[in-house]
Amino acid sequence: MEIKINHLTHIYQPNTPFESLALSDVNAVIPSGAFVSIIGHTGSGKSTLVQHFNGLLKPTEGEIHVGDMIISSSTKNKDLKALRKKIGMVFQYPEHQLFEETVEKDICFGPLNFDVPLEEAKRRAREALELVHLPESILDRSPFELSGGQMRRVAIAGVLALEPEAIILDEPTAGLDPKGRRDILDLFTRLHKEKGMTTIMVTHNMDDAALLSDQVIVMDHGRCLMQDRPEIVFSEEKTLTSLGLDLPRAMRFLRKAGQKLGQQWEEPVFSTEKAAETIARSFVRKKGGDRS
Amino acid sequence: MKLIIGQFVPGDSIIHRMDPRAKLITVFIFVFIVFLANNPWTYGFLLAFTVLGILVSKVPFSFIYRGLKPVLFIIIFTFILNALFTRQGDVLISAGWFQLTTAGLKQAIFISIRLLAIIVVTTLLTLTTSPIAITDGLETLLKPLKKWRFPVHEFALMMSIALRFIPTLMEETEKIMKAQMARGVDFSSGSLVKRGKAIIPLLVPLFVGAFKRAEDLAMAMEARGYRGDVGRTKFRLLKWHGRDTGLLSVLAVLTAALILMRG
Amino acid sequence: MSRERLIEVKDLSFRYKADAPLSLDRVSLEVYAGEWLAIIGHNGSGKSTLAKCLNGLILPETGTVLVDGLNTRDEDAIWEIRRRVGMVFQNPDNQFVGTTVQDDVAFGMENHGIDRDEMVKRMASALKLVNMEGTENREPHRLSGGQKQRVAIAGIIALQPSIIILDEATSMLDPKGREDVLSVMHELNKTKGITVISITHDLDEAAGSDRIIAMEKGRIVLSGTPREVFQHPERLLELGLDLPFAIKMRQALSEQGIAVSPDAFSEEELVEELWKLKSTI
Repeated sequence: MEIKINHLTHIYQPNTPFESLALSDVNAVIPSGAFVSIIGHTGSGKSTLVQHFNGLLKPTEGEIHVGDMIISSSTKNKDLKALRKKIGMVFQYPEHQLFEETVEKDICFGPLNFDVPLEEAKRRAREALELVHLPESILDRSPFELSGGQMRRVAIAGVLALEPEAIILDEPTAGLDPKGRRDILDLFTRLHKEKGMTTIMVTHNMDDAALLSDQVIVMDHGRCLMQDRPEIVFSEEKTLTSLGLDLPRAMRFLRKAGQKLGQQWEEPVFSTEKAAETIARSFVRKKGGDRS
Repeated sequence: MKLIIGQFVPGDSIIHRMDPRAKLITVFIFVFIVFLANNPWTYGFLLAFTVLGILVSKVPFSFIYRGLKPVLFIIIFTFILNALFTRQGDVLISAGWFQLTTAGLKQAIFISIRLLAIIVVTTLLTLTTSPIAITDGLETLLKPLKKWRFPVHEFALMMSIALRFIPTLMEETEKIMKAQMARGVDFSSGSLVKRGKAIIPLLVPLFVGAFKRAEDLAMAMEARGYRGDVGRTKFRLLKWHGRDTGLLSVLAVLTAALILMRG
Repeated sequence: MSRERLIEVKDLSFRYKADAPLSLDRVSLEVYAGEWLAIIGHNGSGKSTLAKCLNGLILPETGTVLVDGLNTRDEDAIWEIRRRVGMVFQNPDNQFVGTTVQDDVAFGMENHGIDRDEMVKRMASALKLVNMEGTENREPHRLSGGQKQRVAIAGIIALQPSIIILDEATSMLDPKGREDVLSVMHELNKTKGITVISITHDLDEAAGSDRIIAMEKGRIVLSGTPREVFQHPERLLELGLDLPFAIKMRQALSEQGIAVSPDAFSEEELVEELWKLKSTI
């Protein structure tokens, strides 16, 4: 499902002494089936932006096209519910939303709110649990007895059980240990690749943004500064640095190594493997040159 | 998210800078001496004191009005009640059962001034004093109660921690509401029963979160050496200035005037 | 060279409930004055429990914990132990007690009965050390996570401790907040000689420490300098941990046939190695 953002402006608490401009004339497109990362430092408007995609916030000005729906300041609240069914949202620390007595009830909660029949909801719960790699045996357990990583996966299963067409992730790995982090990222990469799910991820991790996404949106002070393929966004070193954003680790390493070795390694390279290839190429060329 | 705790409006007027103890004592005594007034002169004094307070505090009238709004109804109601049911003096207007007498009108005006004065003066206290300063003032003023085992320190600490966590919990509430809305909860429409039910997915996580916070906080406090009131010193220092003595003197003069001039 | 031992843990075991498995299983370790010790391990490996034993928030079931010779079981010594061993917790919000920055920094000093004039002095210098001067009257909800953690550090510094434990203190922060907190801690470690024990998932941070301890199921399973510990990358992955970037880079380079010495474990050393290799070609 394509999401198109046209001249979106959002003002918090308008006409009060606390009025503040959170988004200002944002234009962007999330192509159907794409994996899009949104980067920017804290307070740049990333979270405010994505909360418009499933109608948790309404534009002050401008509009958002989600599939064939249009959301503007005059959209009625009851129409937003249909939108939320299509677009799932995983908040930061989603385990904080768990409340039911059992894991099963909690996962079924969303589908039941959208009038999915109970049997179907239960079927979805099992399926979602499998997607997040948790055993069916925990269905009857209280979500509050689980470990932190498991709780997070149950909460994610609760969103997946809505069977959304697109999913929004607001820093989905915050606070997890490295293994938990890998598990969650693998899960969403898989969903994106296998089910073609449109995925929108807000992240502070430049490596994740570079490695996982088709498109990167750069936010700053409520404005969308750039939207492009990661190779192009991360070539704009000066812009990113001025925003207090880093380059991916591999690129930083290449620059450091290049300085010492007298090489201009400035191409966008995101993985250690690709960085090693770049370095290896220069070694081989030199060898070849020696031989001749 | 931005919000004001209580109604405190930061400022730099002489009233803002007064010791919270002086202001608390004043409001406390004022509430009593209001009842001494019983003729135009004495009510005039009360009004004068109140208006002077507002002017000196430099708090815009609009803020005072906002504080007054929720209780305005009560004032009007009391006014009407007194106007209708006091049947002494000359009749001013009469229409069937309805009768407005001079005494009734006078009574209504006086009672309204009383209420108004009490409410405005207390509002002025909360508008010009930060909640934490009020807590400090109360803690110091209530200290003598410790002799009777009243947990003054714990009470004050509880108040200040509550103040500290109000914004955090508000933010959390908003977050959980949004998370549940994303899962299809509708907080704003439907029957009363339906809406009541919608509160559960909000309240449970909120309580679970609050308990977790309380646990964490208790541990952090212990790690930082908190062991109750024993051997504790205090950083916040209340200083009594000339202006505070001044305030109490004005209050004493007002009290004396009320006693002397009442009929 | 014998270094001054600040903390001595001997055969420490602990469990949360009588019928629960051991959270700490006969742990012994020593912490030396002035070092930066990183404790790594996945969630539930016992590292946070261990940290809470070091300042007597948790008392051992068996075994002993001595801080500067004081036993955490000794009720008369516990407050002095907690003054000497400060602790920054994971959630910035849940440890901020005061309604303003200065109230929060003062909280620990008030508890320890420090004279008000002295408090004022210490507060000024503590806030300066964590780069938070000028924020005295700021309320916590107007501070970022990183700023709140630095205020927490200031509150500890004001008690003049010898050790600061960071219990996953940067895990909820954004990159900028994390960097600010860590650079303040490195500064304190270097200039004030404060011993740092950092419980962390961040292997890149651990790579910059003096010594690493890895935990699994309540036991210490690896220990040594980062150089020693990172000799066994497979072992770290088995423990559910990650590898520091430099180690991943080293592996990628050797897969490309660039034989970097397995000794190189920091980015600087890798670059140095590459430079050496290149000049021999």
